Amino acid sequence: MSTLAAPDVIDTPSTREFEQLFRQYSRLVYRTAYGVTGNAEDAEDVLQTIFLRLVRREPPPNLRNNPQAYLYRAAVNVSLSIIRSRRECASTPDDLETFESSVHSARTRDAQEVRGHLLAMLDTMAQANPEDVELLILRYVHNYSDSDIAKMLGKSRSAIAVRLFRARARLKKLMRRSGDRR
Amino acid sequence: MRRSEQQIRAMFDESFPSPTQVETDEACQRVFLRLTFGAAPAGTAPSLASAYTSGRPVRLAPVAAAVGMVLLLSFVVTRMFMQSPTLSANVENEDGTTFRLVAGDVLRTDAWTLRKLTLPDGSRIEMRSRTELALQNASAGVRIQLAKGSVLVRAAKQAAGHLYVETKDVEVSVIGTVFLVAVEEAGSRVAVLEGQVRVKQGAVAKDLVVGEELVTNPQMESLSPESTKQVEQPVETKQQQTRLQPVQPNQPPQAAARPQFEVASVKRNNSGGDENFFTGSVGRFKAVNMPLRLLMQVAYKVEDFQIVGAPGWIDTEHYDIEGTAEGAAGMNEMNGPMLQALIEDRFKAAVHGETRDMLVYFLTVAKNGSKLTTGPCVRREQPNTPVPPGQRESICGYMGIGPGMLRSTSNRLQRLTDALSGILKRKVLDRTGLTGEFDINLKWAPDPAVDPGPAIFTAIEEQLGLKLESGKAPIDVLVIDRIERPTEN
Repeated sequence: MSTLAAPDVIDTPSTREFEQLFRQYSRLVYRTAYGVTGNAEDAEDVLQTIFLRLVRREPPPNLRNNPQAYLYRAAVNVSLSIIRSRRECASTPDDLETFESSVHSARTRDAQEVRGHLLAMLDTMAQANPEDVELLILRYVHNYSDSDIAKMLGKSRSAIAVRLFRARARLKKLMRRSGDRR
Repeated sequence: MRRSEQQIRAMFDESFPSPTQVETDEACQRVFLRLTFGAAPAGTAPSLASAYTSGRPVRLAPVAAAVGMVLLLSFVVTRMFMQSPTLSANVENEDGTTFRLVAGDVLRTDAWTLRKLTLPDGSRIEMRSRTELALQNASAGVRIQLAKGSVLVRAAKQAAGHLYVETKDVEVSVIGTVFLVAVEEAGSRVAVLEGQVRVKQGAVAKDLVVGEELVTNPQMESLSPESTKQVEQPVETKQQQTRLQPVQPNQPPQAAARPQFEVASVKRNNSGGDENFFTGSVGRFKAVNMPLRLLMQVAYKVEDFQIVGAPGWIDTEHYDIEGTAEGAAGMNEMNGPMLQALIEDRFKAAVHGETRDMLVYFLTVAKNGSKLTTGPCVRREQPNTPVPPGQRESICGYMGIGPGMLRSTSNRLQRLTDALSGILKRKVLDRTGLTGEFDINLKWAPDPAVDPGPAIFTAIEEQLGLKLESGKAPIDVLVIDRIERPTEN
């Protein structure tokens, strides 16, 4: 179902540790998954999958170092893999004009089509630069500031600003490329 | 904001829905429940989708073991091999889903969840938070082995045999009654609400009648704060290591008295964070980072526009509140009358209700007719309903609200008007005359000046064939006569 490198629970977890981890980060995971998958049922599956793996696999060191960042990344990756497996994002935009008009004319274009285009591009980006997708979702879905993202991912604010700039540039490039194909 | 930035933001806004806080909390609790409970053959990879849609908990022995059930393992294994598989009980989760518990299985609740068991004889057992029990065959009836936490037992009239509840240091047997059994660190507690029970500790037995409570350790406090006199009636035996300590019966609450939290703390939350939530379990209530207005909305069951005479700080200052209630207080009681009492006590609030003519919106059918439709969905009370191959199921009664979007599956229009009242900050009254349940997928521009898409009024007319018309109607309001910042404890 997922290509995610599975996390594990921190060392030998007690019930309290597991509960604490779940209480602290389950909402972030669920909201992220809900945004990407677009529905409550899949979002619950993602949440369950991720925390299930916490107790089934070997613990990676970066979970202990920064559980929030790790679980957030897991949420994005598992959600994208669900989308991928459903082939919801199989089609890419025919051209940029169509795509732009679809973005700006929700009344005349099916919103699901716009969503499919965007997810297809994010999926493409995730293959080469998964962090780009994570940053874009944190900024545009969760509306986090550069500072918030930096704090969450354990990076400097300037580094996040630069990476976000590059992520946006890559997304725009993909959009242009979609347009050129025609 | 540059055009490309706007374009990307519009794309994301268009494509990424957001769940409500309530939906998020409920989903997280459901998943926690499924992850924490149950036991299945080790190495069995569960089908998450089927586990979810079937309404059965995911049966995950490794999960249970990893999250701290090691201590119970020997107990579980022993019981699984010792008990006859014929005895079973029906277990009902809070969301209405059910599954079967067989003799030897261990069942748990966490801090957030409750469960109810129905035994073959009709006896009902309510598991409170953080409780562990096992179902066992007894020589003449059914035995509930209570490892920790507490249960409220409504025992059916026993035709033959008995229902036993056993803790680490007592055994309670009944013929037909309602009673509470709790296991605490210091000992066990038995309180009788109806009928009569027999409590045994070792070779010592004592009958308890309605209103009486027993503790196995004199250090344990009575459940009843009114009980100022403990009438010590030790069971006369030299073998016992602890003595049964009957205390005076609980005084029935005065009919007019409003229930209150036994212990409550109110603390200002200066974190500046934007995440806030309610949580709790039986007898425990918690609100984190809540503005007082939202607490009042919950306590008095009103929308924010129905609260009048409020000072500005009730919106800007946030609080953490924790309350512990006596007995088996449920969330409805705690986040209703108990929270009201807390607000009036700690915030020195004086409020009264009255009806005022206020601006409202009337939801009517647009001139071209309603465009509301309805499709198939799966009801939660029938979670095993087969879904046609290749078709995604929709849960009846689902509603999701996000910036510029509202999705609803098979709901009455009342839920739409309630949701719109919250969005528009003005009461919306249904004047469509339409009955039945409808699916709604509404999208609008949260800020038409900068966001793409129609304004909500246009969207409702174009997408739903309904119309919002302004008018006036008498609305119940909550008037704040006085309110003060609390003194923290």
